[in-house]
Amino acid sequence: MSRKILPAELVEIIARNEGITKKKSEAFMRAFFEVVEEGLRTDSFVKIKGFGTFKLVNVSERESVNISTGERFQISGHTKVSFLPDTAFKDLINRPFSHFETILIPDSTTQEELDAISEAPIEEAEEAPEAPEVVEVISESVATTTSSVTLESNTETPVFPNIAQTSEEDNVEETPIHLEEKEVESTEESLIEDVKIESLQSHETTLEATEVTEISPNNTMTPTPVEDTATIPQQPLEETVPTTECQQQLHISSTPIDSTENEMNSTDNNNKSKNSRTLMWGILWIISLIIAYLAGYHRIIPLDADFHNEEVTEVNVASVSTDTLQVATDTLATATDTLTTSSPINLLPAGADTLSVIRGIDKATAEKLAQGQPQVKVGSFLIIGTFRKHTMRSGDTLFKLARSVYGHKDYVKYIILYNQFPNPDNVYIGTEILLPQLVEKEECAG
Amino acid sequence: MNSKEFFAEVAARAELTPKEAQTMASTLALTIADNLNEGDSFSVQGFGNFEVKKKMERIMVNPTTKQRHLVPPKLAISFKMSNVLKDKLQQP
Repeated sequence: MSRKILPAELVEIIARNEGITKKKSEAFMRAFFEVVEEGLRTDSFVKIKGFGTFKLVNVSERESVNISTGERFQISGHTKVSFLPDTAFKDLINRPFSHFETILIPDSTTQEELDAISEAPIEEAEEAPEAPEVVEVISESVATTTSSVTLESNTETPVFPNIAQTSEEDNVEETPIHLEEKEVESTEESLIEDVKIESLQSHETTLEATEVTEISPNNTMTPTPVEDTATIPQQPLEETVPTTECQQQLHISSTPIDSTENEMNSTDNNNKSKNSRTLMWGILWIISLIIAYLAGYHRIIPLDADFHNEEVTEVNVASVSTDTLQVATDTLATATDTLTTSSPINLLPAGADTLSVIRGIDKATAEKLAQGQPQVKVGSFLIIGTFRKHTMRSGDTLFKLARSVYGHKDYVKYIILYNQFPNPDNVYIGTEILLPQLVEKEECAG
Repeated sequence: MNSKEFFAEVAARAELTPKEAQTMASTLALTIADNLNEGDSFSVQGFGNFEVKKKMERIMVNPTTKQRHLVPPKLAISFKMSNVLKDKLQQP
């Protein structure tokens, strides 16, 4: 690094730059320092314009100690030459750093902050890992709400962890993107989806009527423990939403006749409940009490009608859903295996995308439930490629698109599955949508 | 010895005009600045050693206003005279 430059080198450079002979340049160099020396001796200072000032400074005698012997001795007073470069020379030397300027530090800055300036990049990285913590907190709180219903039906429980897992993954992936305030919201959403999905999934597999009668009394229990845990300061928002969602499900099941309308209402309420949650909360609580009463009623009277059967399974599902959240967190590892079994379509990608897929199926099945149609179309088609592209215009919906292209709105789930929307409920105008080419499974196999 | 006297003297010894001496002095300064990086030194035998040193950034407090300033790092030239010159100057 450090290099020692001798006058000879500079003599050459000066000669080249000035266009004079080397000899002249050398003579100048020698004269320069000789004159400085002489000037110091005569006047004790030499001022050179464009270079600096040499000055003689007296150093007074002082006492010092010999380090090895400890002996005291005098350092005799002498003179030394100090050199002060003038401003022009100073600036020339400092050219590489000349863009720096002195900054006034605000009074609010503490010493710790100044020390931490060099470690700034590390601080940024520390913010991200907070998201999984939130998820853990939620899962723990849900775990505490578990009632005695846990693992009543063995056939269904393996299905649920996988759903809960996707929701957790969803949390983890979403939260770093949003700000910390939004973490709460995203977890809310995922929980809502959980409950929704679980209820519908379990409805597909359809519980035995006998089981239902056993479980249904517990239904009245499950919403209340959830409320209790809400005393933990961080979690009221997260807790109340799932329960309201449960009750919405219950509400739908209790009036299956005009369920198409209710379905629409409930989805609308999802959005509105964020704003006017307290109002909804009161209404839904009353409805849940009525349903709880009905559930108890059905336990006494034997179940024969299909209508009642369906209703109570819905009720049961709501209670199970809170339990399965706990189960889900416990058995995350086994979740991937059950992923394929939970939904009939094999093209499931991992992570947050599965959530959108499941959500799509969930919506489609919900539609079917509302119409009372058999679930024949679910998973009976395979996507074999892109049929054509469509750009979303104002007024377009995925349902409309599915109906016009495939003849039925249920095909929307294939569109959602194929396009992997971050949020299929909110597809922006101008988004290019790939319409999948579908082939019937039997046909494909044949 | 002021600048005028100095350049007159140098010019006389190096067979130049004082004006030439002055431009050459500034050229010398420029070449020193150009060729000396951080840590480099320019030593003139029998006279001394010029060294470019880096001064680290620091926090300065204005004693009257108590305002704190962050002073940026800078390069500065320092001079240390040689022992030969010291002995010469010591003799009366």
